[in-house]
Amino acid sequence: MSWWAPRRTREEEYVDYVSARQAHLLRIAYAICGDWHQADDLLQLALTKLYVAWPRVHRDGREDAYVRQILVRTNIDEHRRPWRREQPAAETPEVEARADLPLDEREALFAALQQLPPMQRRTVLLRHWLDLSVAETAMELSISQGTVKSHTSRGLEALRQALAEEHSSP
Amino acid sequence: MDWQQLIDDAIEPSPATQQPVQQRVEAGRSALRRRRVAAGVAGVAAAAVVGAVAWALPQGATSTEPPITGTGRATTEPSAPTSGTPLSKADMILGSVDIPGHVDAAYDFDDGSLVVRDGWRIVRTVQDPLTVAPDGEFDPPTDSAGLVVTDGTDVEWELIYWHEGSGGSSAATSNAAAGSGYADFDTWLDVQVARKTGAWTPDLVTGTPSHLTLLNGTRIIDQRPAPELGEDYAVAELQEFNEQWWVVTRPGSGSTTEALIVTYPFEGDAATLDGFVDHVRSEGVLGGRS
Repeated sequence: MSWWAPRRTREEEYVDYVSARQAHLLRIAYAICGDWHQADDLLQLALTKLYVAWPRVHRDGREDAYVRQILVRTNIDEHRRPWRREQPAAETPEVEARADLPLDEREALFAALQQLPPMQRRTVLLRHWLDLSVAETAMELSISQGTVKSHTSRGLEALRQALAEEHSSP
Repeated sequence: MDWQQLIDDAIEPSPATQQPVQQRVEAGRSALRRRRVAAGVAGVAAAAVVGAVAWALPQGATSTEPPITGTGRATTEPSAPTSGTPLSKADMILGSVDIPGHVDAAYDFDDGSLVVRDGWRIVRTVQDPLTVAPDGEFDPPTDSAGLVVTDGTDVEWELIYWHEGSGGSSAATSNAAAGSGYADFDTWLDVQVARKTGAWTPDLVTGTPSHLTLLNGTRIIDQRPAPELGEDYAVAELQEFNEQWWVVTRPGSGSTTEALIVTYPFEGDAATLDGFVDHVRSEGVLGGRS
C-alpha cells in the first residue's frame, strides 16, 4: 500500500460538490424565485461563478454560502423584470409527491411565500428555512441585522395570516 | 409553530432529473477560459515590453484630459502602464461578471499586475478605493484602483479590483467623453464603490412628481401621485441592488424632483404605496415641510 495519494484535481472536487449539492441548491433557487426554469438558470450562473472561484472558496470551505449568496443577490436583479419567463405547463418538471402538509396548505404557504416582498422572502428563507443566524443572514444579504429582524417579522406575520385564512376557508 | 418544517413542506423537492454535472463543468471551463485568454494576452504583452516601459510613461496630464477634482484620496498621477499588445475587447470578460463594453486597463489574472491596452495610458490612479468585500464576494480585494485612462482622444474612468489566490479581476468602466452623467471622476468612483459594496442610495434627478426618472441604475417598482400629502407630492417604491426604498417627492428647484423622505426599511403595516402614505400621514413625518 502506498502512502502517497495523487492530489485531487479542481474538477474532481468541483464535480463531487455539485453532484452532492445541486439538488439542494436548486431547491433554494426555486424557493427564492418560484419558477423551476428560472431557478435552474440562476443555479447555472452561480455554479459557473463557483467554478471560476473554486480554489479560494473551496479552500475556505464556503461553497454553500458562496452559491447561496449569488442566488439571493442575482435574483434581486431578476425580480419584477417584465420579461420574466413564464413556465409552460407542459414543461413542468416532475416532482416527488409530498404528504407532510395537506396539499392546499402547502400551496397556500408557498404562494404566500412568493407574494412576500423580495427581501422579506429572502430573510424568512435564510433565517427560518435554512437556519442561518441573524448575523449570517445580514451578511449574505448585505443588510443590517435590524433590517433582517424587521423583514423576518413582517414576513412571518404574512405567512401566519395566509395559513390562518387557509384554515378558515371551507 | 415550526416554521422550518412548514416551509420545507411547502417547497417542492427538486426535480428528480437535473442538469448533468458535466454541463456545469463545461460552463465553468468556458468562463475560466475566457478570463484566462483575456488576462493571458495582457500578461504576455507585459512580459514582452519589460525594460522598455518608460517610453509609454506620460509625464503629466495633458489638456485633452477631463477636469478632475480631488477628494483627499491617495492618488498617483500618472501610474505606470506595463503592456503593449491590444487586448481583445470581445474577450474581455474579467472576474465573475461579463463586462459590457470594454476596459482599457485591468489587473492581470494571475499575478495582479496592472496592464494597459496599447496606445492608452493612465493619467490618474486612486489606490485601493475598495476596502470592503465587493458585492458577491466574501473578502476585500487584494488590490483595487480607480483609474483615469486615455488614448489622447477618448477618456475612460475605471474601477478595477483583483483577488489574490483565486485569480480573476473585475472592473466597472465608463467613457467620460461620451457623457456619463457624473460631474467628475471622483463622484463617479464614489458611486461605483458604493454600488460594489451595497452602500448606494437612490439619486433622484428629474421628472414630475408622478413620473420620476432615476439615474444610476435605481429602478422604480411603483409610484403614484400623493395629493393627500400635499400639492404635487408623489410617493414611490424604488429598488437598488439589495435595498428597497420608499420616498416622498415634490418638485424641487428647476426641473429637479426633491426627495423629502427616503426610508428603508418601511416600518408600516403593509409594504405598499398606500401603506406608506398612511405611515407618513399617521407619523406626521413631513412635519412643517409640506
